[in-house]
Amino acid sequence: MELSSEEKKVLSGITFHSEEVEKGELCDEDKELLSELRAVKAYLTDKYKDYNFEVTGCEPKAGTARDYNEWYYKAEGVDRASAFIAMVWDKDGAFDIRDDFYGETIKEGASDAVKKLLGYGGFPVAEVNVSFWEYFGKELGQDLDPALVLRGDVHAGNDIKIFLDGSRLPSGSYENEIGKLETSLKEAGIKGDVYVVVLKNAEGDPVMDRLYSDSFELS
Amino acid sequence: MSSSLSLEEIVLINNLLYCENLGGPKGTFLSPVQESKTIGDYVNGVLRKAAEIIDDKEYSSGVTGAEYKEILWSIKPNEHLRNIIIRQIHYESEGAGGGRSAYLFDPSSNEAIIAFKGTQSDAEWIDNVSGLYQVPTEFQNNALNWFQSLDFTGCETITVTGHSKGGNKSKFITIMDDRVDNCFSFDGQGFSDEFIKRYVARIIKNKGKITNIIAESDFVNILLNDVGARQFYLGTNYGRLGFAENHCANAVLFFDSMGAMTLWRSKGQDKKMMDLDIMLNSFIRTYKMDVREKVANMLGNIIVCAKSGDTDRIADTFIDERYMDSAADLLAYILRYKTEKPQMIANVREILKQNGFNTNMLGVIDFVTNHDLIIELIGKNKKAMIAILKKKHVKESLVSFLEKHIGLFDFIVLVAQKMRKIDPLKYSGADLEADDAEKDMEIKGRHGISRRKLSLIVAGAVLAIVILIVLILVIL
Repeated sequence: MELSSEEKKVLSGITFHSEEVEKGELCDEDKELLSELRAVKAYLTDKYKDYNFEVTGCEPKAGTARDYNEWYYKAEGVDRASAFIAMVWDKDGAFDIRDDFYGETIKEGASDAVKKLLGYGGFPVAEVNVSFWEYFGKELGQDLDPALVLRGDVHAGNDIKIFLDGSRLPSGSYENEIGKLETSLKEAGIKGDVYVVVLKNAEGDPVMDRLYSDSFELS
Repeated sequence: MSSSLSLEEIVLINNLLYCENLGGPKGTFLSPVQESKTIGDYVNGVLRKAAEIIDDKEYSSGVTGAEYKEILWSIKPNEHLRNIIIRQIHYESEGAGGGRSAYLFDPSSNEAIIAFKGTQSDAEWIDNVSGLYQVPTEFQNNALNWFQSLDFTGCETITVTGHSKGGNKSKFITIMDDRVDNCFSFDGQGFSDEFIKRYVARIIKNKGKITNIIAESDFVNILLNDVGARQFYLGTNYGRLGFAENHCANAVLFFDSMGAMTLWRSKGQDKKMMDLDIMLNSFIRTYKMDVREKVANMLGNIIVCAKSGDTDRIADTFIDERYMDSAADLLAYILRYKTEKPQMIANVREILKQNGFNTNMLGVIDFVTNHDLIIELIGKNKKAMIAILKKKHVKESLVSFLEKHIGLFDFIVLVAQKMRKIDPLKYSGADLEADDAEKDMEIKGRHGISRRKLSLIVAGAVLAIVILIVLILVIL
């Protein structure tokens, strides 16, 4: 059996059969893993045509509390130390695959939209980061409109982190200011979990320079 | 600088690392989406939806929803822990991936807390056993590389911790990077003799920073040579996994009626684990480093099959030509060890029983031990063996298991052959201490030979002198 170097690297890493994998002599379990690996790669490449993916590893479900295999992958040109994850359910030989990569494609658009909205409201925004909890299959995720996601028309499990410049807020007004911010987001129809952190100043480190933080849910 | 965290808080952080999908995806602690939030944000978010956590469902191996809720409720009133910020979450993608870790920051003390989860994937299991023949392993290096990529500007103290394989990674980082102030390894395995010898100077320099937190009956910390101080704690919590739950991160947690969590120091390590530790060390030392890979692969394959509960595949491992020889070595060693130290096998029997295993298999082991010559002579005749086993009133289920895996008879014969060639007490089973390794190397450096060889030469020389004196006296 012909295997690419990427396939050999992954299979050798997750089985004890590195010599056999190198020669392309796979046992039944390794053949199953290989066919799943190829399905994940084909799925990602087909769904996100502008990107090149490398599948880097797998955590099979056997012996875990999960009912799906987790595959690790990275995308060429995307600078992220952590692996992305695809979940795979084997349904009678057909693979049901879901991924988290759509988040990478819309996070900037979603963050900019929230930043702009709060800017119009006069809030001293230092930074906004939006991320997502859900994993989508092939029917959802490519060419997603961030606005649809932010409004909850597409339920992606929005997680919105807003960092405010505390030097432009009167001391002691943080609770009141966050209340106004909540109203503003609500009126704009934004959905999701919101975390607001007040920093010492606009250049403040999001971890080291905190003055105050609070959270609320927009449903 | 000492850590501002109590041991209870360290253990609770290590338990958080295993929280996955509690009431939905937001219940996963080690997710990049949690970055910038506090531990309190996470705990409050999950407890708000506590009704969606199923009490008797296992959310990680051996730990149920009810147990996780208990853990989270005990964190809720702890302001110090609640205010710790989740600075970065890392999913390892190199080397087939799997390792997960967190960079936490305690604003009350400007302390960086780097926490590593235990074995996450089959790739990490493979890495675990490669610790027998690789110095260092790929995943130890990956963990160190990630640690060294982190920005510690403004941090006054750096503390590393982790459970199981995570504990081993945290010890490795502490040995290799002098910036670490404190290390709390929770039930983490140790290092090979070769590792201790290679990094002896670094170990001597940094081992004082390492505290091993160990459940008294944990069976992972006993693997290979430990580094650092050891503190043993009472274990509890026998659930579905039975004895195996001694290694779960929540095994040492005791909750009072108000939900507060406490650790209780035990008098020391469980005697069964001490014996097992010594036996495993002496077995591993029977192999030279360059041939240990086969043994490691055999052990790893058995572990991965056992993890999946696949008994048939475990049996197949014993008769697979790639692993048969090493597996026979191991079993022959254990059986010979039994004749020297019978209590050891009694301990193994007790462990298996507590773990719900059918100990009838040990009846066959007894039979092999007592009749190794007969087995070698007639063992290849499967029908005769089956007849003998039936005569010994071995259970029908076990006989049919052996009939199903007929190749096991060849394996048993091989075990019997090997048994007579093994001296189970040839190598010491005590952990190798870095100080001893250093002295050994100093002497070796000075004399070009090891301390053991030197003492043999000295003894030989003394004997030769005595013989010479006797001869002279006789001649005179």
